[in-house]
Amino acid sequence: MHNRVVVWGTGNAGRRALKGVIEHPELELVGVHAHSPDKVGRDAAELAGLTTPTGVLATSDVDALLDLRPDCVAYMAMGEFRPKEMTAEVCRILEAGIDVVSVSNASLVYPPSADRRIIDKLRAAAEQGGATMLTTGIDPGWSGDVLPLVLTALCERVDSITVSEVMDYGTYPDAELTGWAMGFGRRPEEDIPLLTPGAATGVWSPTVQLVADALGVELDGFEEELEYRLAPETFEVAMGTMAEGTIAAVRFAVKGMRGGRPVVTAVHCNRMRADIAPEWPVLTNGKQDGYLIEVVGSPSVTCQIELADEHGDNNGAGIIGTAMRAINAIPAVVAAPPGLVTPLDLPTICARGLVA
Amino acid sequence: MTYRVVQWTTGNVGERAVRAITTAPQLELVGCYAWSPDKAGMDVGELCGMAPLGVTASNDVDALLALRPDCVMYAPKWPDVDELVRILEAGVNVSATAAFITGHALGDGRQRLLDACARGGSSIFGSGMNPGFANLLALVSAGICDRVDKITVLESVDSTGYDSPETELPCGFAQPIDAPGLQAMTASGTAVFGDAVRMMAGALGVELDDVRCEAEYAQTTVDLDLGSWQIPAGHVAGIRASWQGVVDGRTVIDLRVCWRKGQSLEPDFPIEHGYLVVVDGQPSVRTKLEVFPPADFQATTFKEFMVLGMIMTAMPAVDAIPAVCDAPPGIVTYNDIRLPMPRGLVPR
Repeated sequence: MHNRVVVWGTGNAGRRALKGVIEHPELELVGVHAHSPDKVGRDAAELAGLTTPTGVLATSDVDALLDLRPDCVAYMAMGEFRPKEMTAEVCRILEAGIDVVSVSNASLVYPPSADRRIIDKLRAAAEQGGATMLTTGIDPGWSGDVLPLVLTALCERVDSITVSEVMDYGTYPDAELTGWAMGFGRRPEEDIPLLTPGAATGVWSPTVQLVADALGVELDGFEEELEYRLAPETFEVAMGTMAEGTIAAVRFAVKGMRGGRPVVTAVHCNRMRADIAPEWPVLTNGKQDGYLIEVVGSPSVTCQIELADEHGDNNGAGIIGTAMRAINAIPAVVAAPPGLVTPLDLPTICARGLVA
Repeated sequence: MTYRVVQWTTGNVGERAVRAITTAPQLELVGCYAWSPDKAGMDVGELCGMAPLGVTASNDVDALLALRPDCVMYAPKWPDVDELVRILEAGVNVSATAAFITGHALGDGRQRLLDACARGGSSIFGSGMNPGFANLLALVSAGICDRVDKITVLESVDSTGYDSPETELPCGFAQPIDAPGLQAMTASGTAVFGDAVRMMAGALGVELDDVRCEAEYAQTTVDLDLGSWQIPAGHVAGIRASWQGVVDGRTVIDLRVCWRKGQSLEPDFPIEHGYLVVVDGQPSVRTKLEVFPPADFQATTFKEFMVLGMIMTAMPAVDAIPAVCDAPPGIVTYNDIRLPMPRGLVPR
């Protein structure tokens, strides 16, 4: 059965989602939402970097998109710094009885421990419209929650789980969100969202809580580690200029604690250049970058995941992965009962129909 | 909700399953099948090297099924279709470690199982480290792709310490290196990997034209002592097998094993010491999995060291029990059940 899909947002992940839907044999693109006037009116194929026109033109007319009665909206618009607008927009979609897969606002991956003010509205809207919503992505949504749970299937005892994103962001063209919020290229004394105590916990603790709840572990609370390294000299990256003395590497850990020790920990270790912070972790199986999942227990299991797009780039691969986790989940979300769902409620999401 | 479980057999894998069932808060051990007259009548805890559990092992199948368990945790070395039919048609679900994924490897037995499931309204599921868990990891890995060209799963291990002649001899180990029919023997002994190819194809939504097995072999140049069995010089001590799912003449799923025993292989089969999942596609995803003993692990003998392999074989099937019980009737795979959520693994 073909699901009719509207893609909402045409940024990095949105463009890959568009491509994913257009080329998907079991999905049909029926609409595209774009904010900016220079995108409105353009063909979805052009926005996705494809050559054959789809006849589907980007619009900022929300009513017209809802009137298309799609089975699902793939919500790819950034939500981190516009939570009210994002919530209002998604609520309108859900109230119209349209299911949503979203990569917007990472903390929403696990509704039971995300921001109540947002979740209560989304839940009420889903209930009113009889619609289903899944928030996903690559991390969180895949490496930080589903994969560690898959790995624990081998263990008869689990002492701790640590999931680390070890990524060189040098090729990541996202100055607006990632660069600004994580402080890259900025001086540490500036007002940097991630350096605010508790900020990392606010975003990542729902992922940690999801894993803990799935394993039936009651956490006492969260602890946070945060450190950064400065650029030893000025250099250029995809986000722009890293001036000497500005932040060029960030490492944070959000630790779900029980009995004074971390049980589930989410780590991000992001450099702007491979030689910065050599004392921080790297992958050891070939590439330095990727995801590292360490389960300590009986037995202990270590998993290293390397990603590469057609240019061998891990950041390009991460953007594809973020978009496709959502797109590949559409049939399962459409089939699921109404409400705010998590990976724990859904069958295994694979690349169904996408074998070349 | 608690799921009432009967453990079926208490060999190396079954012993770990019993430990896991009694640890998991959502599972309750209500009975245990042991065919051997030496074991029947004994306390299951004592049989498994634990404190007494107050559950007695029995070889009375009817009495065990009369307990109306939700599930049988089925851990013999190989599946017995007659026995499984009896369990399933009694309305009891089965989670198996015994070389079971889709049942295709059982030939006509598969239809008998389907019929028994339909009569009993019951489900049967099978897993293990590989096949089983390794295929789930591969499918989840591919879930971030917008194009999949090929998925390869490689198990590459020195299995010298995995002393399991009942499962390893049928794969071709210890045969003369020039034995006729060696390829057919490996294809038969590892047929459950063909099931795993079919299961993965189902998840990817591809229709396979062919599922085939290719294998190559190495002989040992010296006599090998493997604990309970031996491989003489000039006989098979290394097997590389590849189970392939083919579409339009192209292999899209390749499940490979490289098993070696001892340090005297001719030709040498170098190994990766672990599991490698490679998704060729957009993006490409390369996942390396390594397994280590826990910090407090003490092993001095082959048998003790083997425990890790037995844990990894038993746990995926035990973890899946609640999801299998809640699944619709029939032969179910990871494509049909929710993500298993193992409880009670994290000690206080």
